[in-house]
Amino acid sequence: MKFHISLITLLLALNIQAQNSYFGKKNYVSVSGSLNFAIINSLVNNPQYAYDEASDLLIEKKQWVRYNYGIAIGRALSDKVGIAVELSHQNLKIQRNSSYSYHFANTGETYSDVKFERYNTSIFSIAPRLELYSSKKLFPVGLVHQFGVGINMASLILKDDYKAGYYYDDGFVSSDYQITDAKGILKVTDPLKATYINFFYGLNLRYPVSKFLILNFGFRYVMNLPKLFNDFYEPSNPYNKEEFKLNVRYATRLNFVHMNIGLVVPF
Amino acid sequence: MKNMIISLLLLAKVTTGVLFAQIDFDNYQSLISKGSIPADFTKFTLSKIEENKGTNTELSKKSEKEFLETIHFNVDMILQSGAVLYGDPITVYINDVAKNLLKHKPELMDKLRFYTIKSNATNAFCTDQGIIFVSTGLISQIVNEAQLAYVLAHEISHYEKKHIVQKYDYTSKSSNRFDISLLSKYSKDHELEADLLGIELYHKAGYAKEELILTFDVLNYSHLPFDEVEFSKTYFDTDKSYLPKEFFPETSYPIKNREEDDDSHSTHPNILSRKTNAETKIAEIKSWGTEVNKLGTERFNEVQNIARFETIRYDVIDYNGLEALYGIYLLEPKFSGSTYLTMMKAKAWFGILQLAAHDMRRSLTPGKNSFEGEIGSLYHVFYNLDSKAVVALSARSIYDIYRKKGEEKEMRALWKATVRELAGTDNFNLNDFYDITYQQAIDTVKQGSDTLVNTAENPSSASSTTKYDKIKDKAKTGGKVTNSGQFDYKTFWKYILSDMIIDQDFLSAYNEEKATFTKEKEEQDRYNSMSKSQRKKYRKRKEKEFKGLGNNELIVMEPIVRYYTKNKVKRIKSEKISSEINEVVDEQAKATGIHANILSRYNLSSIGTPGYNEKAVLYSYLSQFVISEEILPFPVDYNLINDIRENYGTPYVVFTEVEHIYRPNSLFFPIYTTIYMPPLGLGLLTAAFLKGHYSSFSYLVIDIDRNDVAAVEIRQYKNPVNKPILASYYYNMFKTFNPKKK
Repeated sequence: MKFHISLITLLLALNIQAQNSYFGKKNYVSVSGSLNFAIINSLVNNPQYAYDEASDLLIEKKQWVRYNYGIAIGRALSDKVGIAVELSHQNLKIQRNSSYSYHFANTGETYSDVKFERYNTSIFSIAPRLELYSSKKLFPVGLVHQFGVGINMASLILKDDYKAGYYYDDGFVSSDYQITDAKGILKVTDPLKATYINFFYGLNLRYPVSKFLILNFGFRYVMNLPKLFNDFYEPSNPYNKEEFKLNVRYATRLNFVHMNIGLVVPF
Repeated sequence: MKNMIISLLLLAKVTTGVLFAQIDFDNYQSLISKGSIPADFTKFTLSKIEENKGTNTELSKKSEKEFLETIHFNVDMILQSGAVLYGDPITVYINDVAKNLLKHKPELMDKLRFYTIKSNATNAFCTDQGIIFVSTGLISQIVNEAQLAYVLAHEISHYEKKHIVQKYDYTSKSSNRFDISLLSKYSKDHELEADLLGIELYHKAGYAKEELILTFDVLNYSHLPFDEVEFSKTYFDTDKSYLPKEFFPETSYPIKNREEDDDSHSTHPNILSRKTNAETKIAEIKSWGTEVNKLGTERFNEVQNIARFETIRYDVIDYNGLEALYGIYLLEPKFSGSTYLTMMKAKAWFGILQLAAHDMRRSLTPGKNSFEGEIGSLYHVFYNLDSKAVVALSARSIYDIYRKKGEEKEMRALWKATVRELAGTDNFNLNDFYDITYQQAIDTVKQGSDTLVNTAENPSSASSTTKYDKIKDKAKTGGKVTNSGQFDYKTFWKYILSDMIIDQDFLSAYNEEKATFTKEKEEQDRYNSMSKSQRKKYRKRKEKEFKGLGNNELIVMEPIVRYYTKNKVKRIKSEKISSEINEVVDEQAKATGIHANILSRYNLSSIGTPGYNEKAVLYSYLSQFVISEEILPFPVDYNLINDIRENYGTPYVVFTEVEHIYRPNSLFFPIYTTIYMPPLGLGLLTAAFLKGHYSSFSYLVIDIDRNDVAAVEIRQYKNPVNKPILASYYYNMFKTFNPKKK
């Protein structure tokens, strides 16, 4: 957060003559929301599981659409270039890998086809970005290309009643599929946090509806490099930072198209 | 109350058409509109379209919509161009002639409106709305009222028979659209029908049949000036100036008869067909009237002279310097005391000088094959003179007028502009000139002076027959040119400024301007030698140095707006944008501390006829700037322009233009990609919808005091236009003019 604040201070301190702009404004703040269509991710990724109280089972679920929201502050550097910093948040569902059979060393028991309920994750991002405007001297209105780097801080949202499903295997006979509290078989390091970086390119059209309000809509490609595909890994117990980080990145890596809409207030 | 009575009296004079005896041609001022503004000018195009909906039953709903849009936008563009006059002596006269023509059809007269259009084209045209425009060019060419009556009768017949909507309906049908011969025949049938119906109307009004056929001669020779008088070979000669006769053609250029021109692809039948058609109809009618100038010969002559004075002005605006000079040559004998003609002559010469100074001498004359009639001699002379000679001859002529009319503010300004042009061109160098006259030079080299003898006819002694009689007698006239022997007559121009080049006032003004140009040229050279980044820095520095106009009073003209979709102008959208601009201009000007005096059709009701005339004068001024980016024209209506300057207390006139085109990229690739690579395709598809908007906002500020461009900028954007964006365009523009306002 310290980094974030100092960047905004730097932005406001820049004393650059923006020649002409939308009503002579050189700065803006924006609020925006974006929808993230998880098309590829949902097609190629392992399914996620959600607890269904009615049947008391874990059922397959896909998070087709994700959303995030954020605010940004921007400033014109010249009549065609601007910089901005955005602060955004999104709630993401992540899924631990399941395995057909697993022996839990801490309990000394063997479970097969273990599936964990997906976890809620909160991701805060700070993203400095460069903005290139197609229209000269109309900052921040018009078609804008955005290039940026996102610094993402993901935290697992802990709750007591996460479920896990499994078959208990005593070596001879498997039991019926059972549901239990996940924490009973999996420990979680608290707090579980991970930081990672992504890159993005966005194209937005900012269309003013009044002197003080501009409508913003467009799309953004977000690339989480370098891991694009699943590695095989053994789930760890306790659930640790590395695995969590992998889970988060897998969940976001391929669903890279974000459609966004927002409001911009120039000042 | 007293003012009101005076106004009413004046209005009565205008409407009864007794104003004709009051024109003072010695102090003539260009025509302006008078009286109250007709509704045709104040009503908005969209309202007109709305009112006319459902009145063209022969058209389908879709066709009618398109038709109404086409006619109303096009006619309103003419009405708002500044070229159309109402309440002026010519328009009043045309209305009186029309009233006489339609005395038996008062209800038809009530539907029609007649306006004069300032244009040198010999033309009259009728619109579906019932507006008949008559050009000053036509009035200048006809020789009596009867001829005007026939032209009006022809146009009225087009209106009565609804030819315009019929032609639109016929043309819009896909089977006819691409067959030019069919279209041409259809249009010609209408013309012949209007000719015949026009004859009936003309006959009923009591006009003489002889003048009817002669009207077709007006059309046949309308490409020539309004009279045919041999151009005197001594016209350019004074005690200090001399143009060798070798430059003139031996004989006048023949005039081509276009009566039988191929009309297979034309909208009008050739003149011969029309004459034959008319003659048959004339023969069918037994009793004819004898009226030629029912409203009086004196009144017609006055209207004709006004129109001829106007053609000179229009030629000056259009940089047709030679046509203007020839017109002045024709009028001078009759109006020798006219300051207007003298000043127009100076301005015509100035235009000629500018073209030669900027190496655009070829624009002075048409191609050699188009030389015709007496004006052909003038073309011949200038076609064969080189640029330096033209510059010298022009400077000579302006200098002579300056010496006579130097007390006039306009002349002083024009002389200053002339000196500036001379200082700025490579086609004028003081060292080229001698301080002796051409005659003295010949004497010095002992050459014969017989070459200086001129036998050309003086225009004032020309017979009083009409232009069309003279054309028919053409074969009898001609001239002879002698040879000046060994003396190189082509260097004549070096001797024609013998007095000017030793005039100390001229020399000091010239040297001052020359120093300015040298400084500017050095800066330009420096700029040219800069690298790209240095140029950018230079421009930035210049931008920063610009501290605004220094005057917060501005005259702001109505913007020109064009909204295209796939290269087709969307008229209704353009109109809406124009209306939105009208709503934001004043507000944005105020926000930046500027007082905008808006001259626009949106506030015609409040600015009234004076505002309308100011708008017209300023549009003429703007049109003078079209000739070339490098040429700074001298305002043809200098005095009127300066009146406007005084009236508003500002020399700055702002013209703006907004253009927008929506040209989206093909959706094929994005859709294809969306099917096969959804995440990538989705982005491309969105991009395809977001892109495709191209708009531009341009402004030009003319400084009346300096007769120069004070600021100009063209800004291009890639975004849609809406009211807030338009407001921002104007805010930024005004802010540039007044950057101090916080």
